[in-house]
Amino acid sequence: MTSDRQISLEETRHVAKLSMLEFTEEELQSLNEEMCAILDTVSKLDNVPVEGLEATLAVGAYANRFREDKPGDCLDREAALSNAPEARDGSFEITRILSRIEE
Amino acid sequence: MQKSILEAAKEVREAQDASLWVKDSLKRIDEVEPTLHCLLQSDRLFVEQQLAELQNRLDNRSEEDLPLAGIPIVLKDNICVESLLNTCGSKMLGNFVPPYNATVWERLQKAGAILVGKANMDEFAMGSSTENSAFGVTRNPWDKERVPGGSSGGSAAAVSAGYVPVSLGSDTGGSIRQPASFCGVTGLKPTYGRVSRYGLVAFASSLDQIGPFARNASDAARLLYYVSGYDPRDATSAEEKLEEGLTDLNRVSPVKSARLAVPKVVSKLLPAPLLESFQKTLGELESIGYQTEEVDLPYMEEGLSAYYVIAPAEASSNLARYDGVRYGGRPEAEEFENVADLTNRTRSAMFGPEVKRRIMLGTYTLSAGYYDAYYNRAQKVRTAIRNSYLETLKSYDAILTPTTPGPAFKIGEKVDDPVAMYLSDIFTVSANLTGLPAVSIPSGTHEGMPLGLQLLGNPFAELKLLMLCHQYQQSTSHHKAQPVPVAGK
Repeated sequence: MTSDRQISLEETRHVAKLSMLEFTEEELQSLNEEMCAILDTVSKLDNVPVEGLEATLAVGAYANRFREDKPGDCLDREAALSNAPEARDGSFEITRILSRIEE
Repeated sequence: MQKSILEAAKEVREAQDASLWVKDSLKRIDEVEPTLHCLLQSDRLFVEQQLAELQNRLDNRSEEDLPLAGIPIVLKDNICVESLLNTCGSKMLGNFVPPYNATVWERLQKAGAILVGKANMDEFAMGSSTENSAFGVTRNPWDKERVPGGSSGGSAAAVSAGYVPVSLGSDTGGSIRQPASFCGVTGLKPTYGRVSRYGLVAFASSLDQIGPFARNASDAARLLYYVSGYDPRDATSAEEKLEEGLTDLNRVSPVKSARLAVPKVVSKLLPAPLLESFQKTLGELESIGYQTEEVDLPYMEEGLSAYYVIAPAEASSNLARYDGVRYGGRPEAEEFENVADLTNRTRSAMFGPEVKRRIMLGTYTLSAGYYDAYYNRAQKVRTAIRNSYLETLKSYDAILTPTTPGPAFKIGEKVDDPVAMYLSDIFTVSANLTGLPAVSIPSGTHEGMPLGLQLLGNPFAELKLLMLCHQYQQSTSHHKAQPVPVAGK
């Protein structure tokens, strides 16, 4: 394992932000340690010669399928909204996205 | 119910009695469920509705053949059934009621099966023990201090404890085969694409596959047949023809000789007493005319590394959909500054530690600067593994390993050590990385706990794979061993 593979606490904090997850400082510490341990194990990948090999993105033979661009059955609006924590007037409801300009 | 599901369904049709087996199943659930906690829901009203509908179909039977008539079944709680809660073992989906049916459930319904419960699982199928379920651990029917395995632990334990003869789970890195092994039942991960994933909550889309649990290979084959096949709603579902032999293995002409490859690395990875037991199993296979040979099959450990890069990466992307807006729970009585704050706080409150860990890991390995070192490299290692497996399978009918490095562990034993927990997947992840079918069958016990044997075969060779198991099960009795009754008796 090379040291540049280790993830720092600061990087962990940044990854949390990208993941849209919030942690306490303590949680972040232990998460950082766990991720280092996991990435350490994962470094076995370096043992495999991969030169000239394509990446396998999908194992099925049917990665791309085309169909006519025709409308078909779909969920009606009520069903689509049925699990939303908040809905109003046939739409998902969210917190205000424009902030008030304070004078 | 001791009969095969083929026989049992036939009796239901002949007696025209929809509830013939379901009654026993519900009784067993009532007796044992308080001890084991295999299920997250068992909606009796829904059972009544299904029975009424099936009775009607039995009474007015015209063209329908109802091949699974009145067979009680359990589905893992990540397989959507319209109007029933589908929690995925997560607080995030604690109140999620799908507005549509998974393809597998549509097909089972058409065949006449009766859903008696939704099974417990590790949150979003991430885990090897059901300890990551937000709704409590399932206990192993063989020893209630031990885990049933995971992530489909509830589905495996429900068959082992005699709730149902068959159930469905999902397998992303061993989540069917490992709990099958821990609970002493048969579990199959089909070839990628064999079974439609439509209506299965996504974890890692290039690895996920739905598959059956059963008491033996023959029931598993029959269940597989009725849930498989092309589905236009899953672009990765396969058009390969389904072999009708799967419906009744007893009518398929026997596989006379078979060559089975045993990777040399197995002896390095197994502790001595388990290696002894594995060798005994190899002896049994030879005594029924199968040839076993040691082969060099590299990259077993590296496969685990590739898996723990690829699966979290796909998970981090798939689970980005839980934004707190379209579905999912929401922390109560909170004001949010803006939408990002709403999403952050919903995700932080509703996801459990393992799910967060994997989202973090996946986000990291996909991020700029690390993508090539981790994700891209893991996908190339995946190619190397697939190539070596397919090459080996040119000269052998199956690759043999134990399903897991050891029997079911104690509840709490590995919960704080993710790396140790991940190690229990070492023999199972290759089937998902390569897309190949693999089955786990009971192969004896170690200190009173079941062990599993894994056979991995060529793409879409489920029939041959299950025939090899069926023949083994006809000459041995490991699959018939049952846990000591856990409650009620």
